[in-house]
Amino acid sequence: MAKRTERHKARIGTSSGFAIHLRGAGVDQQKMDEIILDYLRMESDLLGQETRPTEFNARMSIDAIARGDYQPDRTCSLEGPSANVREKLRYMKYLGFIRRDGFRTQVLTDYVRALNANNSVARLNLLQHRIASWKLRCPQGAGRRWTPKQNGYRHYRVRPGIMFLYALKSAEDHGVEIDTDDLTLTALRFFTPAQRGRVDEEFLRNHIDQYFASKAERLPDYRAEFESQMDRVERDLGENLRANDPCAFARKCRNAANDTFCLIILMRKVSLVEAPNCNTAIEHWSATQESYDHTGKVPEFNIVTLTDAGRQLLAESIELFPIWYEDICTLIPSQEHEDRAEMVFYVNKLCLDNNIPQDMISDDQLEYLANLGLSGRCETGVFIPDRRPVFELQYDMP
Amino acid sequence: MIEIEFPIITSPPAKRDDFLKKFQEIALSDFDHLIAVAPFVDGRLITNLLKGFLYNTRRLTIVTRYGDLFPDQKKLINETIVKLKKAANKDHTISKRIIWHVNPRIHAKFVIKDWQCILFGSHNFTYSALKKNYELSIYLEGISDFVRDLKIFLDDIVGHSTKTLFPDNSSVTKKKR
Repeated sequence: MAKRTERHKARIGTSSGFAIHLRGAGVDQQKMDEIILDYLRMESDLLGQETRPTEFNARMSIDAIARGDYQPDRTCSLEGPSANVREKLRYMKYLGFIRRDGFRTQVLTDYVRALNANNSVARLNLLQHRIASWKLRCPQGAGRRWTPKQNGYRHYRVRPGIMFLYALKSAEDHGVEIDTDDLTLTALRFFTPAQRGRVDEEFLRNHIDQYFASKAERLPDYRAEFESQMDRVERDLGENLRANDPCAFARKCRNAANDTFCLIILMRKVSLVEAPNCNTAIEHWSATQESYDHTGKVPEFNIVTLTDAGRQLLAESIELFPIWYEDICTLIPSQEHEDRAEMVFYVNKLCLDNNIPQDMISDDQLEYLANLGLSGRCETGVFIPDRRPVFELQYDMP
Repeated sequence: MIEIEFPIITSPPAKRDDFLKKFQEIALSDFDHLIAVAPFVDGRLITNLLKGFLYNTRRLTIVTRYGDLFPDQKKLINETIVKLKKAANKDHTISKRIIWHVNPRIHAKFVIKDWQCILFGSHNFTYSALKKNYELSIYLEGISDFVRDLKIFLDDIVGHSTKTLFPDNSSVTKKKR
């Protein structure tokens, strides 16, 4: 137990507390590409030592210091020099380039091939589809390690990239403009497990629609909304340890805004959104304008809109049904690992082919699929699910 | 039409490790089936090679010696086998896709990719052979005319193997009491 407490203490200040932690998204793409190439070169050395995350961190830090990129006091801009190693690793992990166990993913190979061929269309497509199938996992332990419930995201079952695009679409449908604060309070909002057993996409879509419907009537009280998010810290050990911190609110606001800002940058880079105006003169109270100690304010994108590519990606992806490997684990106990493997096979097959011949699958397994949420119909000897799942073996299995 | 890449040299004074580079290039390329045969292999090399075989449909056939290896090499190989077993708990198809045979009389050294390309010569797959020794090999592409003979040869090697280190292995993981 003591060990857990130490680990918990070590994480103080690493989580934004408000919203989903996506700061890695804001890193400079060109530098990121160089890092990805370096990483593959390092990993493909057949005589190379096994690279542990700490070694990788150290090696990247040395590179960053050698280039003169390292800045202990980070500025508000997360592009370029101030993006640090942790964010790059997280970016690579989220997009499925790397795995914790060091196995080489197909995504990484495909991406590097597109990079080497200088094929910007293929590269962009790959990034867009990675974002569409990007699923939220607990950032503190990749779903396997112990994590305090109050501070973790285990109860989330959403694809943040798709929810982000959905928020833009919803705002458009309700005829309102959407800025960094709105995105922080909708698609990237933090919900405690107490608020709902599981925050799934349907729940979040309802929340987003309600938010913009009320914004269409009158401007939200942003400060009150952000303060209400602070309530959750009562049960948060990490936050209680910092109870005397006078800058807690400002820091949390700024961090949450920073995360959203970075995701907007990523979405803009992959041509899914347009965010032309970076505004510092904001009319309403904004989380981006909160600052503390020596940190600067976060620039705010005050109007974010969907591009055609973003609209198309949203239309293709919104009806898909995301399934986590953990869902399968919850359903089937570890002793029956063959059943688990079979279920993984069927879900993966549904994901790729959209159907399973009925003679391949038993009634029990169909029931398992229904329990996972993949109900469907049987037509001419073929099982077709009502909604196609999103599931990737390489990415989902921890 | 056969395309030849020759010479593939390892020479410490000339600082050349062409074989290692070629092997890495093959490991990173697209393929369905890779065959790696050599009496002596480096456990770390095999571990790194295996990084490209999880959660996909690629197949790997390895044939090596096992009994007359140096203890440190044997230790590295045993570690690799343990890692493979762990990976097989996650990806159940691995034990069908990766097979590691032991043939104590093997002396040939070659890598075949999809029965289309072959890299062969004097190189073992050890650190010494790939970095320290003076070795010479050749790389051929478009070997379809010789596939029949090569397949018979490989079948002989595999057919006369004494055991498989993976998936069916009993000697490595048994703890001594």
